[in-house]
Amino acid sequence: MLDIIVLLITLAITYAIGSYIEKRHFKKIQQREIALIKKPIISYGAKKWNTKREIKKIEMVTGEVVISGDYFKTFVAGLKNFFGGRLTTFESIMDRARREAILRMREKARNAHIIVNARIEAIMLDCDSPEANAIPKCAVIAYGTAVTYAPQK
Amino acid sequence: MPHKNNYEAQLELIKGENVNVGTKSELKDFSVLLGGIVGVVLVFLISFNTVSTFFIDKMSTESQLRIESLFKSKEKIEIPEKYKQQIFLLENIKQRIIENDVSIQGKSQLNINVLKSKEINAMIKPDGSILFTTKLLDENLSEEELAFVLAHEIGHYSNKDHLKSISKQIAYAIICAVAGLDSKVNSIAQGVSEIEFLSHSREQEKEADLYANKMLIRIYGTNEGAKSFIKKLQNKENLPEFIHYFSTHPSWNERLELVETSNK
Repeated sequence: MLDIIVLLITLAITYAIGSYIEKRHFKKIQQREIALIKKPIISYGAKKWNTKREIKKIEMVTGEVVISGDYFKTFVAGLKNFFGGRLTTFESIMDRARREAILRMREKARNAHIIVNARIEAIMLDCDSPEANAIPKCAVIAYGTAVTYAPQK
Repeated sequence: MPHKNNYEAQLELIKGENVNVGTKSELKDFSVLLGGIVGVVLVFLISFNTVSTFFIDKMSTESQLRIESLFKSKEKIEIPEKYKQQIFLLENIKQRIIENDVSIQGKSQLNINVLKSKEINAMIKPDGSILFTTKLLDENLSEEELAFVLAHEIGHYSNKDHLKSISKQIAYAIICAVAGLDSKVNSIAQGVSEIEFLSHSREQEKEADLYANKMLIRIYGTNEGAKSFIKKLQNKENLPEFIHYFSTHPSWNERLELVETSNK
């Protein structure tokens, strides 16, 4: 009886705190995305890239983020895992992680004109943890080649 | 520089609906899953209990005695000299209760034993024997008060609660085996089972109290023993009322009210 009360209180607290943190993070991501909307352009597809413009600087830029779900999200995902279905609680975590990694990469390349060959990699940390209640963490790395053009004469 | 239209389109994408994240509320998801598990566990427990109660109530005396014999302990419990007089008195009361209840005649011997414990308690074992703790016997209870406690335990026997508790254990074992496949489902299933068990147990205790009250009135013509025993323990424990929602027994207030009103 006491166990279930402790569990429900923990779920309520982690849901309240987790939701607040997530909403705040999404808001910040949106603000930063709007701030970076004009530069630099990202090209995900090109394996070969040519330009007629003079290049001043080429560098590799990365954006990395490790993000974890709260206890509530993990608990709900655990229940879903038993019955099957969309893990909607983790979708928001993946989205936050992906957008945050891209933003960090773009922020590193703030002065560049274009990021070519941008790639995104995602891995789950701790997914093989023997601990039954281990909270999964998701790591996302966004990387690409930042190109800065020389000033036009 | 992106084209103005392109800029506006991007801005709309950022500010617009996020297609990568499910729109369904997490809380709703959780409520549906929780409600589903609670519902399944409750339906299973209630169905299992209804069926097992039906068969236990219809059970023949031979079958009942056979099941009870499976739980019989071979160990002989020696009654300490100090309590022999009280046990002798309890044996006499027991005979009078059996004489007054046809449903328990020709069944278990309802052997009365003493259990060394610091808790005030008495219990009926699955083999049909009754245990009185040393702490309870040390309370210097009057004959009528002792009769109430004994009749309460015999009430459990008469209602076959000792057998029903075995069937409950089987139901919980099944739930644990299925829900045990996942720790999170298991924690909810066990919690629900426990709440259901406590609520069911409180009902059984009320039934046993009513039986004991009825027996006291039949034997002594009054239920003063029941009232004074409950009041005595009520003053000793003095716990807040809500605590009894987590207990196998109803609150002392509720029990007192029950014996007082059933007398009217």
